[in-house]
Order: sequence, then C-alpha cells, then structure tokens
Amino acid sequence: MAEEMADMPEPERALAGIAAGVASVALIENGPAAARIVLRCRPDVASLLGAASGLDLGGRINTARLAPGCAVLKLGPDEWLLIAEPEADPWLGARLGAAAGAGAVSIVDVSHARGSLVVAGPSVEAVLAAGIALPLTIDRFPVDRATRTLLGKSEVVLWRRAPDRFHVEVGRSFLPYVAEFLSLAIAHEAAIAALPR
Amino acid sequence: MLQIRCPWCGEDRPEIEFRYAGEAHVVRARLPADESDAAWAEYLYLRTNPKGWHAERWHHVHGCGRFLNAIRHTVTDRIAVTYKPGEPRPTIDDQQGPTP
Amino acid sequence: MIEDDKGPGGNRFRTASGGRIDRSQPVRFTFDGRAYQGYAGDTLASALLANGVHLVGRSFKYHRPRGIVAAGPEEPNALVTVRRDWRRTTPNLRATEVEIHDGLDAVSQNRFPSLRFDFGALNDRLSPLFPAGFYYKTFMGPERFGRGASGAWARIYEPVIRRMAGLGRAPVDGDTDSYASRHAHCDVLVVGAGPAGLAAALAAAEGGARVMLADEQAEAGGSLLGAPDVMIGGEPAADWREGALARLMSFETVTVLTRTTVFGAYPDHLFGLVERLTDHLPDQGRGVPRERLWQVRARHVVLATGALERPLVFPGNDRPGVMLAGAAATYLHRYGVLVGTRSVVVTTTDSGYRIAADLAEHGVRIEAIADLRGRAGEAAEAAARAAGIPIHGGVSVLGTGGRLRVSSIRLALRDGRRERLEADSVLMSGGRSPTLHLFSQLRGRLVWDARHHAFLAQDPLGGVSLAGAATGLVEAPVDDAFESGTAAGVQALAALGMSGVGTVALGASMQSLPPADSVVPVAPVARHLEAASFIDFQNDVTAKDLRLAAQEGFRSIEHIKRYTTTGMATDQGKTSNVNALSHVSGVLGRPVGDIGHTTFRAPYTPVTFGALAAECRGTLFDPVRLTPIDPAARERGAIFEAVGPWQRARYFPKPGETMHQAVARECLAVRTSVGVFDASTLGKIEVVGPDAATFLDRMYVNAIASLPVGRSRYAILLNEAGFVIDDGIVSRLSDVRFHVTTTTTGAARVLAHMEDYLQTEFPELRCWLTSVTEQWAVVAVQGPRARAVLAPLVEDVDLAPDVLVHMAQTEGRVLGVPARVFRVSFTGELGYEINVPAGYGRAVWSALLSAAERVGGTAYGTEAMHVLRAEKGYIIVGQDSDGTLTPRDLGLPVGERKADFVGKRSLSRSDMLVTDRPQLVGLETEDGRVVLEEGAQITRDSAPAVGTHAVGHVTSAYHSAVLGRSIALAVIEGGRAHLGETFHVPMPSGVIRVKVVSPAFYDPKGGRLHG
Repeated sequence: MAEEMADMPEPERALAGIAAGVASVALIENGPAAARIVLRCRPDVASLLGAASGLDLGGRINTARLAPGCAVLKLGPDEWLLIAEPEADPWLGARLGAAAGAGAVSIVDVSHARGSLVVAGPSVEAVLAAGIALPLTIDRFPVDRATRTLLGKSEVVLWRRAPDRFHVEVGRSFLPYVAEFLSLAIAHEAAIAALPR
Repeated sequence: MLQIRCPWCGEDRPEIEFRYAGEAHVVRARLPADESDAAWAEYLYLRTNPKGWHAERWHHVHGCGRFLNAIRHTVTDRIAVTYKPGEPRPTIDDQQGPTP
Repeated sequence: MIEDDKGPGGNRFRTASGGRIDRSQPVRFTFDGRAYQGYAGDTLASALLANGVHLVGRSFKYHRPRGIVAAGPEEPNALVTVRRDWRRTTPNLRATEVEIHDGLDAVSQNRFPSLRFDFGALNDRLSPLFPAGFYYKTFMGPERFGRGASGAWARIYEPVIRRMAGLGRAPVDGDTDSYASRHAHCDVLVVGAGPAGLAAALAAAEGGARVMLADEQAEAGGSLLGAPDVMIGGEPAADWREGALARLMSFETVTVLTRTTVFGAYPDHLFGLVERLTDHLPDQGRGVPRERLWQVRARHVVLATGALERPLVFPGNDRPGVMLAGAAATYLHRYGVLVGTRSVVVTTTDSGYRIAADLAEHGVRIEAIADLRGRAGEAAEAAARAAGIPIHGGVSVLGTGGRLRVSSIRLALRDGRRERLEADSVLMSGGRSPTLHLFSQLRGRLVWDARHHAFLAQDPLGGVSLAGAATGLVEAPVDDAFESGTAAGVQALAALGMSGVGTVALGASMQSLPPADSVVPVAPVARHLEAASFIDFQNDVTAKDLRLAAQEGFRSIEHIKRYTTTGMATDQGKTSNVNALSHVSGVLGRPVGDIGHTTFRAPYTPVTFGALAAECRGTLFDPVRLTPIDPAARERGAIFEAVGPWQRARYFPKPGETMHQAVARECLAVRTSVGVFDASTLGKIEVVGPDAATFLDRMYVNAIASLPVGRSRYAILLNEAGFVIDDGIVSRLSDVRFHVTTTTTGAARVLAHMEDYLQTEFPELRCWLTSVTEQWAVVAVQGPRARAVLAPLVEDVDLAPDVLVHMAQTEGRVLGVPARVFRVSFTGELGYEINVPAGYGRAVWSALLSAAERVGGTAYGTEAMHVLRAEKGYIIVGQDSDGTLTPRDLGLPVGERKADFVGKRSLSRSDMLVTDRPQLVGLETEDGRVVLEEGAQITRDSAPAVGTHAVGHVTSAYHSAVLGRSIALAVIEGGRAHLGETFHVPMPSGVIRVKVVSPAFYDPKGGRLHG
C-alpha cells in the first residue's frame, strides 16, 4: 500500500440524528444500518435461486418475507429488494452469486443508495396518510405488506413491520425531505389532537 | 385522480404512481430498415385519437415498475379493463362493460 | 344608540330563550372596527342580525347597499374579510359561515371609505350606463395605446375597474398559517349530516361499512338544528340527533367530520374535503393547522346535501332586510334571532305561509303574506289565517323602499289596487333547489322538473345514492328524510355486497313524490321594472341584463353566463341559477329544460390555496436533493445552483474573488494542473444479464456489443424519431454487467425509456436495469496532474498510461474504499472519475482535493465544467440540443454500420437528410472580449429587416480563460458548410459580428486526453 494511504474512512450513514416526533402520535427513528441488494430474475430462475440460496423468493408481489438476517421484499413480478444486516453484505452477495452461477440473474448492490426511517406510534397510519395515497388500515395494508409508492413527492418503499410500526426505505437524497415531511405530519396530528373539542 | 388496476400488482392503485405512456398496440417493426418512409412516419406520428374507448399504455413507475395496457374511455375517463403488454386487446361493449 | 354591556346594538333582536347558542358564553368581536357581542354558537351573520345590523356589504358593480340574504353557504351578499393579522387575512368569507370567537376581527368589503357612505355608489346612479357586456363594449380603445398587455385595457381601465368592482383583497404577504392533509379510504362517504345523512350513515355503519360522514356546519344535524318542534319516530329531533350521533361515534369504523365541506368529486370516486380546524377558535398559535385537506376515496357515496332556497325576483329585492324566509326561520330557531319585527312574506310556496305563522307566533308582526301565485294550499292558508296574518294572493311587487335597510314594500293587488306596507324585513320564499353540485360533478345528468321548478337527478348513477331533500323531497316531513336516508344507506350496503339491518325498501327515496306544496315558476317581472330586479346579487345581474343578452343574440346559457356574469364568482350562482334560467326561458320563449343549466364546477364553496398546498410549502414544496459530497463543498465555501432537483456546487470562490475570477482560476487549474469535481448527480444505471450487451446495442447509436470488458464508450441515446435525448458513458464491467451513465436531469427519463423498450419491445432479452445513481458518489479528477494525485491513493489499480488508457475502466480501492475507476474526460484533459459507495463520497472527495491542492490543484464547480467542455465542443444535451437535433446535426456518429438501434430508421427519412438542417458549430466574436448571450438569434445580414428569418441561435457562450477570448456554440442551418464565414447576432445594444468555426476550440486533435 502506498505510503500516503490513509485508513479507510468510516462510511457516513445516509441520514444521522433524526429522532423526532410526539410519543402520543408517532416517533421517527433512523432505520438500522443495512446491506441492500436488488435482485432481478424470471420466476423460473427465482425458484431455483431461492432453493439454492435459502432465501424465500416465492410469495405474492408487494409482500415481505423474513429469513435469518435478511428480509426479502418482493416489489415487482421479477424484482426483490433484500435488506440484510450490514455484515451480511459480503456473504449475501456471494451466496446469491454462487447460487445464480451463470444464470440469467441481476444482483446489484444498492446498500449506499438508500436509507430508511422507522415510524411507529399509535397514530402512525394517520401520519403516513398525510403523504401516502394508499389505504393503510391494517385490513388493507397488513403486517409484512411492502410496496413501492409515493410519500408526498418522494418515491419510497413502505413496509409494515407491526400494526403500529412501518419501515420506510428512501433514496439517499430524498431522506431529509421524507423525514421533514413526516415530522411535520406528526406535529400536525399532535396539534389537531390537542384542539379543544 | 384515477384509480388504476395494475395487472401485475393485482390491485387498484392511485394514478400518481403511474405515468402515461401513449397509445397501446403500436408495434415497432422487427426490421425498421425495411419499412417505407410512409409506413415509418405512420408508426412514429399517427395515432387513433378516438372519442370513446382507447387502448393505451401506462407505466407503474412508482409501484411495481411494469408497463401495462388500459382500455380507457376518452370522454368519461373510465378505465374498463387493464391487461399486460403482449396480451390481445379486449373488446369493450359499451353497455355490458368489458368482455374478454 | 344603545351602548350597554352588550355593545352597540345590544342584542336587541335576540329572543328571550331558544336557539342552540350558549347564552352563558358571551363572545366579543368586531365588525368594521366596532365592537359587538354575540354568544358561543353564533355565526357572524346571526350575531350581527341579533344586534340589528343588516347592512354588511356593497355590491360588486353598482356598490348598492346589501344585507344578509341567507343563513348558509349560499349567501351571495354578506362577504367579509376576517383578519388574524396582516399575513393571515382571508377575504370573501360568507358571514353566514364564519363562527364568532372572542377577538374575531371582520370587515366589510368593496366600499370606500365606509359601508354607510361609499363613493362607489355613484355607479348605482349611473347604472343605466352599465348594461350587460358594458366592459367588453366600452373599454376597447384607443388604439394608440396598443393592444394586449400594453394596451389601454391592461394599463388604464383594468386597474381602475378592479379597484372599483371587486370582491375582497388577497393579502400580499405569505400566509403564516399551516395546513394539514390526509388521504382516506372508506366504503361509504355520506355528504351532509342532516336527518337523511345521519340516517344513511347509521344504516351503512350498522351493516359493517367503513363510513365517513362530513358536514360543512359546526354541528351535525342539518335542518334539525333549526327545528325544535320536529319529531322523528316519536322522539324530539334534538334527542334523536344526539342519539344518532352517539351511536355513530361508537363505531370504530365511522369518522364524523364537522366544519368539513366536500368541495369536489373527482374521477373514480375521489372526493376533496376541506376541514376547518381553527378558524372558529381564538388564535391557536404557530404550527396548529388552520385547515386539513382530505382526499377521500369512497366505494360508494350518499349525497344527503339538502336543498337551497331561492330568492324571488322583484324590484328592490336586493335591499338589506330582504332575505330568504327559510333563513329567517333558521335565525329564529337555531340562533334565537329575529331578523325584524315587522315583516312581509313574499312567497310562491306554501312553506312561506308556515314560516309566516311560525314567526308570528314568536312575536314578529307579519304585515302580510304576498303570494305571487293565484292561490295557496288550504292547510297553509288556514294556518296563516289562524295567526291573523293578512293574505294577498295573485299580487305583484312594485318595489321596496328604504336606503340602507328596507322600510317598506309596494304591492299591486289582484284587484288593481296598490298597497304600501311598512316593514323592516321582507322574507322571500321561492322554493328550494336540491343541491346536486356533486352529483353533477360525478357526471350525473340533471333534468328539469317543472313540478318542483328545479333540476333533479335523472338516472341512478353507479356508486351514488341520493337522500333527503337532495332527491327533491324539499318540503317533506322530516320522517321522510330519515326514511330516505336509511334507504340510501341500505342501498349503499347492497351495492357493496354488504347486508344491512335496515328494512326500508330500496329506491323508496327516489320514488317519493313531493307533497302538494307546489311551486310555481318565478312570476314574470314587468318589463319596466326589470332593471331594479336582481337575479344574481353577487354579480349585480338584473333581469334586464339577461333580457339584453338574449336580445343581443346569446342563446346558450353558458354564453349568457359569460356575457352577463350571472352565476359566477364565489357563490357560483347557488341562489341565482334557477331564477336566471327561468327568466331567460321567458325571454326566449323556450322551456327551461331546453335551455339546460351551466356546468357545476368544483369547488362547491371557495377553498383556500393553503389547504390545497397543505404540507407542500417552503422546503417541502419539492424535494431538494444534495449529493453525499455536499457538506464538504459547503465547508469549502461553494456557491450552489439548482440543476433539476439537485443542488450542485457552481464555483468555489476564494476570498474576494468574483464568480468570473473564480471560474477562470478553476478552468486554468484543470488545464495546467488538476481539478476535483463532484459528479455524483450523474444518472447511473447498472444493466445486468446475459443479453445486456444486445440490449444496450439496440438502445444506443454506438456499438456496445463489441465493447471489450474493461472499456467504456461515449454513447448517444435517441428517441425513435431519431432525435438525441441523452448521452453518457457505457462501461463494460464484465460480459454480463454494464455501468451506464446518463445526464443529471435525464436519469429518470432514460431509465423509463429503457424499461419501456425492454418490457414492451424486446421482452425476450434477459437483462435488468437497476438505478445506482445514489449508490455511487463520483469524484472527477481532471488535469495533467490527475495521475500524480491519484497514484499514491489507489490500491489494485494500475494507472499506467498504457494500461488504464483513455476510456478504460477498472475496479480497485481508493483510500481503502472499494471503487470503480473510470478513465474518462469531460474536460479534454487526462481525467478519471472515481466512483465510491456514497457513504464514503465526502471523505474521498476531501482527501482527493487535499492531495490535488498540494500540487496546485483546486476544486471546481459546474460553471468551470461547462466552460471546459465547451472549449472542447462537447455538447450538453438539453442545452446545445433541444430534442429536435439528430446526431448528424450535432456532428456525432450516426451508427451507420449497425443494422438497427432505436431511432436509426428515422435518420434516413428524407427530412433528416436535407442539407440545411440546423448544425452545431462554434462561433468566435470579432471582439474576443464580447461574450454572446445564450439564446440570441443569428442572421446572415448585418441589418436584418423586421421579420427576417433567423438562421440559428447561440446555445452556449462563455469566456475561455485558457484561450483568452470568448467562445460560443450555436446551431445554424447548414452551419458546417459556412465555416470561416461571418454571421451576425443582432442585440438591443447593436449587431455583433461572429465567425463560424469548428466547435472544438481547444486541443482539437485531442492529444491531451491521452497524456
């Protein structure tokens, strides 16, 4: 290694220090650090790949499945977003790559392309509904439903983790916008709830 | 804002997730070089522009990312049916609604 | 004047008891600066009336004194401006809808200097001079002022007319209130919470539906709020209302929204609602939303929207104190307010008799009932006679007296006698029109019903039920409304495939007929009295204006509306439409049904822009995208510019430097030493799969299939018409993996364009596109010392000039960070673009910049980038091209050896082969100090006559530091055939002479790239 070579810098999180909200409405936190892979292939290949990699690539479009250390979000008929623990990055890619072999598969690392927010609280549906046009009630958007959609003017991937908790995946440069939007929506909800009846 | 049934997602989704993508069933020639100037100009520029049912393409760009076809009425804005690219155009009976 | 603890007026017109106001909670407010007192539960209108104030505004055109006409959203006259402070000022609010609170500050509009004495009232004296179409006919010349924006209309007449004839004024400064929004989905949306709406909501909720119930008033209840004596199912209406609401609230699946107007119906059953959250309260402070916009997607909608009472058309019908009879009843029963003490009821309905008797019972002296019809229903007449009210049938109204308030009315009796009656209020009962605005917006057809003298909903509409007065049950007992509402709720459930618990037969409401209380058409007004007979109060349109429009040849009601303005402005003709149609029908001798009605447009009542914008203001108006390197560039003092949604560092001034100096320094550093640039905003797409090469080969003009692994190619993207839409670098990382760049602003467009072809034209190809724009931070290191700067910082990367050649690429480590290193150049110098995962971008940029600075290098921004590429004649798609230029026009390769790619066939169309197509060239001004203006037109002649065809235009122009002169790129018809010739750029300051040259100004042979 060359003499002037510095130590490898620490990567910057897509967004740091967002912890906002009102407990009686909803709180926003940074999502966990994660490795992310976009996997694309045709359904016949997917079943082979699933069997070889141990990831469950079946299931309906717009749902999420959990495997040890890795969540599999099926966002399109031939598209999966894998969200894994950061240390999974090397093994996940390698495992998939090995499973894919020379097959017709696209595996692309997008770990740094996105960040995530976790929004949770008793009024989380109302808060998200300020910017999301999809029905979010639990009967129509149950736990582990996951889909790409719009929040205000930003594309997001919305994934319900629990009745009162959502994971929001956002393109790196859109994170401040989405965080601010949700903070404002929470403040509005809290203010409206406090109005004299 | 329309509600559009995405044939890939299998559910109704809000129009803002989609982008309009022009008339459907306008097929690019396999060998464009063999097309006459007139035929090519028609392919490029001439569209049916009907008053009534219109087969058109939409892109579920902020959803599943897939293109789809829709039969929409250009007067009422009603979408009778949506289907995947490559599938034949369904015929629509004005009174009965879509027939496969 | 009474000045007591209740303020001027002293609530003299307040009844001793009754109404829904809270007499234990006095509320103080001001109107036109004077303090008044009302009670909690009052509207501004009811509180003013309680204090004897009728005069509340001046009319739009003639500045006639005007008073409160109605008690609801249809109010045409009582428009006021409410001020919290100078930024939070709302004009044109209906006093009938403004709820008072302590400190409410309301002012009247359209008067100067005051309501009681208004200079504009001169217009009224001159009213014969202001017929329909007056403005259009009069303010046309003189021609010497020119036309259009510079003409006399725009410069002289319009500003004056706008000041004279206007409604309230919008505040100039930004609104500091905040607004919220919410998307919602329900099975059944019930619009209107009167007896029918409540019943419908209950029936739907009991059947398990998710229900939203919205009502524009402060409380649910509708007509029940002003009907203390009414019984529903044997229960007093007030008790039934409480019970129904409590039951509704007990469902988790029910949302009841009061103070919420359903203002519009949009495709696929999307409804726009605005909920007023704080206007009825004292100031809640910053950040508390004033309103909330709801976008509700409903599977089924029940329109229980009621009906609006119509005024009658007679001379002097616009004087303050002349108002709707139903409104007078509402003021009495809901607010405990008498609108006068001596009233004359002018009617064409039996309900006018009932209201007269009702008011008489509460102490109002009814001087007479003046029935414009021949006879009334027996029961109605008997009730009035029992109350001792004189009845005149078959009368016509000759006029009213009084200046700022009505004081008398003159009648022509059936037997020819004339009678003048003293009255401080004249109450009009002209029948009611079902409120079908939303039904019409939903594309429901309305048909004229002569018996009701109103438009009714014609056919059932999918997903829509009507209930209550909206169906035409306008004078029916409340039990009928309740029944019709229940039926609508059950109908909604059936339509949704849910079963209701109700037992009412489906469709009962649609078939119910109105009771015998028939309504006669508007009694015609004598011709000579038409000029004083107002039809549209808000727009000052008289019966005479409508006649004139018809006489001048207007036939379509839509044209008559535009010519006379009847039915326009904030009330959109809620009270005037049917009367206008009836009058036009009479003048034209055609049935009303043939004339039709004007279009009902959203919004039903005005909606603030704030509510429509909701959260999307300020920094949330549009996402602003920052690169991972952004904070480091800010630390270095960069000045930024917007490029699409991105903020990009434009230049990095040293202390004291101008932009020009900074850019010149940055450019020279790149040419002589090294520059470091943040190129992270470039769009990036990873194309992976066994058919990736085939796919890209079909997409780009350039040969991609033959591109070796480890190499890159400049590539041009066309649309099918053959025009350049984007460009970028295509790099082959492996047999099956490509890294493709796009322009910054073209990223999303290019991805969609490629997806389109991949999914719909070439679905057999096995490859996939993944956007990696945000995955990679890109640091460009450009200049003769670029290699020297990089060399100590890389691992597993062989930078040797004969290994990593120009347009080669490799993967390795930079500063220990995994990186894709591309040897590419957008400057014409030796250059590299280092791609590192975004989280490392800031650190890598900073480290590379420090290393560059040690050898005399610098950071550079987008402005220097633009100059450097222009010096080389490299285009920027979208600046030097505009979507109408082919690669041939731009002097780029045209892919002649390839069989096909998107756009290729179009390049051989005859139009594409003509020699005088616009072509990219360079321009040098004769005087090298002169920098041309981008967009400037180019001519052959030095003194072109007006109308001369411009042969081209300047697309890019800069001062080049390294060349010591200005340079420009331009497109000129057949330009490449004119190299060396002189053209002209006419500018306001004079004609600039330019020489046509090759666009490659600097290092035309490109030797520096290979250094």
